[in-house]
Amino acid sequence: MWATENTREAIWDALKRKEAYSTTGPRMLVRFFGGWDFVPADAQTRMPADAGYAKGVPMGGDLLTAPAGKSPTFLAAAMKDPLSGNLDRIQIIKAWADADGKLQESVHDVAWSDGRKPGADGKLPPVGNTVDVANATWTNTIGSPELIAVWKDPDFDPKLRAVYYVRVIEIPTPRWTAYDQKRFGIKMSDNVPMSVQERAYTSPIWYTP
Amino acid sequence: MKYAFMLTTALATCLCAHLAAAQGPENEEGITAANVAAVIKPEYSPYAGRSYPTRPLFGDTHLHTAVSVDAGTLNRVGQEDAYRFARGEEVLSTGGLRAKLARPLDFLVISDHAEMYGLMPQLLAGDPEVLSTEKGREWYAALTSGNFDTVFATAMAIVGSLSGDEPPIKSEKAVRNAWQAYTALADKYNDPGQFTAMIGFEWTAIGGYNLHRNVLFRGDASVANQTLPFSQFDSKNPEDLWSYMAQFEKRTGSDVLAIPHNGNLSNGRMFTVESFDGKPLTKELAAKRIQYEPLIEVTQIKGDSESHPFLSPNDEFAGYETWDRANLNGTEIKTKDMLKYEYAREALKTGLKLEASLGVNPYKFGFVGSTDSHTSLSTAEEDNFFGKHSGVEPEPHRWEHVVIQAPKPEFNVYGWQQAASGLAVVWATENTREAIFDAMKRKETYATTGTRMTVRFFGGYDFTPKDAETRMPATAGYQKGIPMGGDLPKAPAGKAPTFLVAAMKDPISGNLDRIQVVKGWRDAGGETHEKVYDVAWSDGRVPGPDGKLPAVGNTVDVARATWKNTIGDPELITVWSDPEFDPKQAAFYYAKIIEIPTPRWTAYDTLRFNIKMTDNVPMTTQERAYTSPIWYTP
Repeated sequence: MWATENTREAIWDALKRKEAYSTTGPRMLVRFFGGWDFVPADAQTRMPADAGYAKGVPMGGDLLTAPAGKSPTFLAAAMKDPLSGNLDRIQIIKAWADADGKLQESVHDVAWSDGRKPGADGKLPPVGNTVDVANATWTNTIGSPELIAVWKDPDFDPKLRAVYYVRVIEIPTPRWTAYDQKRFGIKMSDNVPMSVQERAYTSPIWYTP
Repeated sequence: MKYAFMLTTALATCLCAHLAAAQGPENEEGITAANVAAVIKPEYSPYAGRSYPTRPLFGDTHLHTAVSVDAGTLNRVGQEDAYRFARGEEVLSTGGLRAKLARPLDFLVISDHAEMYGLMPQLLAGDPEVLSTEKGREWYAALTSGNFDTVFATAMAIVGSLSGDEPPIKSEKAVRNAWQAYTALADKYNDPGQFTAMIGFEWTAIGGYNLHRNVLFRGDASVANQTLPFSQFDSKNPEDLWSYMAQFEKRTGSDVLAIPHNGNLSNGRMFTVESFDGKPLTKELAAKRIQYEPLIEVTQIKGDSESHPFLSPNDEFAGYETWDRANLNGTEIKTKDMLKYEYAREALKTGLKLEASLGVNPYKFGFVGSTDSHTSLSTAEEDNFFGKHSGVEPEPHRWEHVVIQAPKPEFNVYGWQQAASGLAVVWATENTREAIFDAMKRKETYATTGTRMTVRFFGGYDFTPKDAETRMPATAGYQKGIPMGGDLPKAPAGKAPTFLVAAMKDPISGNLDRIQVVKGWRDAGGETHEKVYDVAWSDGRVPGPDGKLPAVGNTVDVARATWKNTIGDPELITVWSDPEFDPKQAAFYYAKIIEIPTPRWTAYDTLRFNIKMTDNVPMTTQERAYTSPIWYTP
């Protein structure tokens, strides 16, 4: 919850304006802003929220009529939970209704760790896996402690309604089943997953012509 | 949602009263007796029942406000705003700038100078007690004259009187009023579990030779009000300060401790091998010193005192924000032979020597950092640095202004030389005066140059590499060893000490370059030595043929005052065993953790004020942490 203070009123107000995100458990910090004027330099700062609020709307907000010839730009930043895994990647998910009213979606990798290069199919290779299931532990030797990027929608059509949200994915870490297995000295059947990639989903930003 | 609610309710009911009921045929939620038996096992949560400290507390043990006689000639921010600022609120600086910390501190000691405690605010307010003295009336008239030259000359005279032999204004009543107003304020802002306002003051001897100590109280106002701050007018001899502390403890049954600072500006006086009067140190004096001075402030705005390149020529990371031209006020040049009595690493070695001759080690101290800021604003952040005193608060020219004016211009200290440092970090079991004080007494502390990295350091004989392959190193650490500040037991036959050391980056600062273990020891001939081991580092670097690790690199964009955490690691951990251990030799070990380069405060000033500083001004820094040592005594 991005509230201005830890009070009933401030948390309520943040909920109402949807300035919130969910995580599967870790406490990563995620910023997501949309606007028309974000430039790569806005990602080259230690205080992305300054540019974010000055030039755009935060998660949960609305982008209204596009200035002529402009596409929406987004500033997305994530910082790892100090006690959890490093970050694998930031994705922006776009959904829109096309001219025929058909619903479409696309997923864009916008920032990732370890200088990976997308393959011939355009897909980013997986980040790897350092999980030691037997000991229910891992090392933060892959992934990044923080990721930030400015992304511009390459297929924007100002006449079509669209929605954008951010998904941040951690490197693999032990699932609770791995901890149980270790602590109780048991063996679960092979169909039980032992590692997990924790993630965060931000509230969307809507574009409505 | 509804189903989940029912399940929870059912489970709770089972647990509370009706365990037997669950043993019947399987109920609709599928809860069985076996489920319940598993749930009520008390050993599951790894966090339950932990009695050791689990979170480092970040604070400042050394902050001055307008109540200090020197700060008060310029500073108009009082003690209350100093507390408000430290706990995260926005306040106005003396220069009228809005000031706020990125993150609140966990604790603060306002340590205003004992000398004429509270005089400046009283003078400016025309306090009747102060105006009942002749000097008080004279200074009040001068300060309210409206004539700049008169005001300035008077302010300088007041600052100068701080180190004189007699206080120009001697009013026990005025001091008592100010002291008790302070202790009441400390009690008001002390918020157990959230924010600790520990009571303290600074004893400010001697003149330019900086034997200064901050005295910290474990108790509250009702305890601290049973005394007045001990000042250098009472005595310039630290041995008398320890006697004052001993008497206070005896009288009140409540403990105090003292933290010396700026050994680097004492011109060879802080860690000597003699008494204050130049006589050989005695066992009694050595014991008194280490009883009352378990910690030293090893890094602060006026330079860092951990190590000096002259004393540690083989250590490429020796010396950080080094001030080594003269003493505190620039009245005496510093010579090389003084350095060994000023820097902490050498003093730890001196302590091993003295222990051999006296049977007591007076320099068996741990480390904290603090700011010694005189602006009421505890700022150790590079991007939020309000400077040493209110005359050098942020403005375009502060980098070239004189911070400390010396009789000889070559000993002047300029604004850019200030270090945006440091922090006192305490592994206390809770955020209270008592728990923090007790952690300080057992030296379970470390110093940082402003960054908030988390550092663990344990010594023992049975750590194995496996202990580093866990996300909870402290569990093994406390089980199999002792934490920073502690003593290794006697070495079991054929065993060498092993150390478990772990560091996690400050989430909003730079990644980590490396962890080093610094060892000092006393050989059979009584001589002392030191060696620095790189024990964990980032990016899979391989040491060169000379055994040195290549530098981590540099991602700082000075023009934008920013950097990328694309080099270095977010966390480092290892188990290290001393490869050259000799069970007959006394030794100490401490960990030093170094960050990747990040912009120094001067880079932020250059960007924000759109100025250009001269080429000799450093624009990047590698922040660091120093843990309290662990000692081995044969």
